[in-house]
Amino acid sequence: MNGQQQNIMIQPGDFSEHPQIPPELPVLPMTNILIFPYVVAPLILSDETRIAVINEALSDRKMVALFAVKSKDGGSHPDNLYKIGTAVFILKMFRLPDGNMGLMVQGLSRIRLESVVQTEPFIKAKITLIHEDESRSIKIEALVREVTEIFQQIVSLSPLLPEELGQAIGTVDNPGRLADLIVSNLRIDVAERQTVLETLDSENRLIKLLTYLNRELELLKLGNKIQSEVKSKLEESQREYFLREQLKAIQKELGEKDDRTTEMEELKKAIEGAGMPPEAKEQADKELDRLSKMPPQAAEYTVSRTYLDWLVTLPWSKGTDDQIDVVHAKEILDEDHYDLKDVKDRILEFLAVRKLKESSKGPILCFVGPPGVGKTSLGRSIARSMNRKFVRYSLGGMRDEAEIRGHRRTYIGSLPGRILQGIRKAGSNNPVFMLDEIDKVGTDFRGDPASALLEVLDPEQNTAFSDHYLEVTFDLSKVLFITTANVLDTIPRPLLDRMEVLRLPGYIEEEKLQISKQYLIRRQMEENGLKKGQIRFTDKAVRKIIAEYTREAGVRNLEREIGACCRKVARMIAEGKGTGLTVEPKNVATFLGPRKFFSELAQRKAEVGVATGLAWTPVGGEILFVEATAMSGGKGQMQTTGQLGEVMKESAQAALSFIRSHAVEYGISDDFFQREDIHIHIPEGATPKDGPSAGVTLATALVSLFTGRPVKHDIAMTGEITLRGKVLPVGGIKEKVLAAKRAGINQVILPKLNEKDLEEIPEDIRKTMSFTFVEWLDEVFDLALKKNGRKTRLVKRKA
Amino acid sequence: MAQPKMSNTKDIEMLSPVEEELDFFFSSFFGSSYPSMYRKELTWKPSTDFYETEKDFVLVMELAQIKPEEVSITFQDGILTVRGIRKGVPPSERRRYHKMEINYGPFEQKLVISCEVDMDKLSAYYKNGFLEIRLPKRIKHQTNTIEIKL
Repeated sequence: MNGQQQNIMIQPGDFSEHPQIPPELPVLPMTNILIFPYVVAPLILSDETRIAVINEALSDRKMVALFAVKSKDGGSHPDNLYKIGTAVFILKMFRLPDGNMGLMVQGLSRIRLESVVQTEPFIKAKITLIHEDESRSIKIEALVREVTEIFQQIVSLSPLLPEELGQAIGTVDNPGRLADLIVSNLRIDVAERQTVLETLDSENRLIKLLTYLNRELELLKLGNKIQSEVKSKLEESQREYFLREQLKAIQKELGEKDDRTTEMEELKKAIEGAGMPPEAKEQADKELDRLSKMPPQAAEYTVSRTYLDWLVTLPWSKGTDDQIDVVHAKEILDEDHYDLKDVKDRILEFLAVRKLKESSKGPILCFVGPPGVGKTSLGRSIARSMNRKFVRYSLGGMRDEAEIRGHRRTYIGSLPGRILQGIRKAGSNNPVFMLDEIDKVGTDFRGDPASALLEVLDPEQNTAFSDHYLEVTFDLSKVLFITTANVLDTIPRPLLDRMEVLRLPGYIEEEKLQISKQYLIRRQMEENGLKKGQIRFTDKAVRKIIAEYTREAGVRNLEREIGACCRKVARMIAEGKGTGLTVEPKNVATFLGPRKFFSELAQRKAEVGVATGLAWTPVGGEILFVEATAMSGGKGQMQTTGQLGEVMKESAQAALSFIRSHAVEYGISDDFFQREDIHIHIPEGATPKDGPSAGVTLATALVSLFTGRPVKHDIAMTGEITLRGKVLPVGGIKEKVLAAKRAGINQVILPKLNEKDLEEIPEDIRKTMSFTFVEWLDEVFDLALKKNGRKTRLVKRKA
Repeated sequence: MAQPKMSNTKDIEMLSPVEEELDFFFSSFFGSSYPSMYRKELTWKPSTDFYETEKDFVLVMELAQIKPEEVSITFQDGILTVRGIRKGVPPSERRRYHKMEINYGPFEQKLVISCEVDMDKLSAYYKNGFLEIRLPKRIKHQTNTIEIKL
């Protein structure tokens, strides 16, 4: 027939051939795959035994018995196979490049594994065909529709199943085969497929299938929902990105720049205009470069941005011009503050030098004095007189070094220290910078701020002050630093060394009167809305307020009391009860209540064993009383109470020793110290006291006690003593004298070597008081003790 | 001369597109996710050309090693069905296949032809392993032209 045309009879005919399934077949055990009858599907085999099975089958009838294995771990042992499987016809076979075997197979019929004929090299088994029940019913019909509909939905949702499959199932007219085909295309596990395979009647098979279908549909719906959500989110962000890019392109086209570029250019301009020294400029340029390469979302971005802001806003080379006119400056200082001659002179000298030599390094001034004497406001006046900016920062209670020098930039929220913050606030590199309360700087584990201050306050070093945050040095040498303190003792020596100390002693009554008249009354009237003429203070009234309502070195309380008077008058005027008032001594009490302070002197009489001393405190001078008493039945021991410090206790010992060693001279019996115990007390008991300057007073009180000669009550004294009875000089003479004056004591005993200090005391005070300068203790006793006394008492006892 | 009148493609439809799709999948995506298909009978589909000329539809099938009497051609309800069988030779010795893609057994090819064809003039012949079937188009005569046979 080759090459020869043969006519074909055009006729109907049936050549379909039902393959005969032999009773014995090689067994192909499969782990994950089940082939259903009438289903064509691909298979891939890699296992040698399985490939041998196929080779055997292809040599024969191209049929194998496919059974699923029950558990993967059990291997292909016959016991591990399900008993119901499928006879499979091999349609095509080819080798894949990786050596695996590819097959296209078609399921033929359900079969039952009856008995195993051989197990090596592969399993061969006797099988029987299972004839399926193909009966139909209305219920099956309904199930078919349901199953078909759900599967159509699955096909439309699943990306893996081709649309044609949906059409193809429509052509399957046998319900059982429909179920088989659909199961073959579902992603369910082998055990579930096996149950479908083992369900022989169509109805139950469809019912089982329906459960799996519904589950698959739910899974797909959920999956699609998740996917569409993800997709829409993705699209949104892509859209935003796209629009932004477009915006940039449009801006570029229009010659505009985006925010970022504008920002960078502004910063660049600011850096150029900041007048930085080369070192800082280099740092700023580097930082700007870094910033421009950073995405704005980066956490570093703000840090870097803030840093640059700091760099450009510091007044590197911006300063105010000093307008130094010494005469004018004096006017301003006088206008703001009464007296304080020394301090003002020193300030004016400084200004004068500055005028002659502009580059002169400024001294660091330190104002020391009690509260309320005007230290801070003096700083303000200096700034005003020099036409400089004024910055004030209180160091009180500060314990952290970082407050001065800032935190390193690695810390979150780090900032420069207070010094540079103040400079930036001032906006000029030469402000008057006041560091208040420098005596109250603390120290703890966070570092020692006082040590950090050393650098700030050293004119030699502060030309290159380095802040941890800034990293580059800043020139502080043009800044005029002024510090204030109440006491000098707590200021570390090296720090104190760098400063020029100017003392502002307390004011005396006369000065306070003048301050009141010139400043306080005017200021309080203004503050309380009173006009001229609505309130007047007589000098006597002010003196009364000073003496009876305040006891202080400064004028803060005095101003408060004057303010209280003003308030009350303001209320009176507001209530329409009057138009003005003069504050006189007789009506002071109606404004301020009963007098708050009494002169200690008024309560005192000359007494045995009580001497009046003078003390110096941070808030001005004080008078103190030394009380001594003796108790019989003792052993000559001495106890001291009243919170006395070591030095004061020792000077009490020294006084006692001196007296004992000179007992005969003072007419004290030898055995007095064997019989009596001595107690010294200095009120007020709760106030700690220390220092050597009460030596004279202690000795006087003791001698008075031992000799029975009363101490004159209108004499106050101060001075350190030695065991030889010499009187040594002490400090704070002015404060002490003023305290005596305030207390109404007009006679003061002072060490001879303190005579020079008397000059500090205003002349009008000096005139009203008498001073005696002593060199030896004997002179003190002669002056302070009364001659008569009750000396006899001791003599009597002795007898 | 007028262009030969050709049918609209929609007039001619190959049946069982799923199966052809399947072959496509089989060749390109073998091993990946692949749908299982349903086949009613264990039949295969010979490679087929189908074209039309001015007068005829022509179906050519590659069908080697068949006997003409084992082919059946029917045309009913617009469907042309070609059936037949290629009988495999039972192996006389043990084989080990490395590739197996020749189909044996019953085959079937169906075509839907919605144009009018003159079934009576259908002709078929088999030569050199190709089966060729010609279906002449039924020509509608114009009323005013009379064909005169000489």
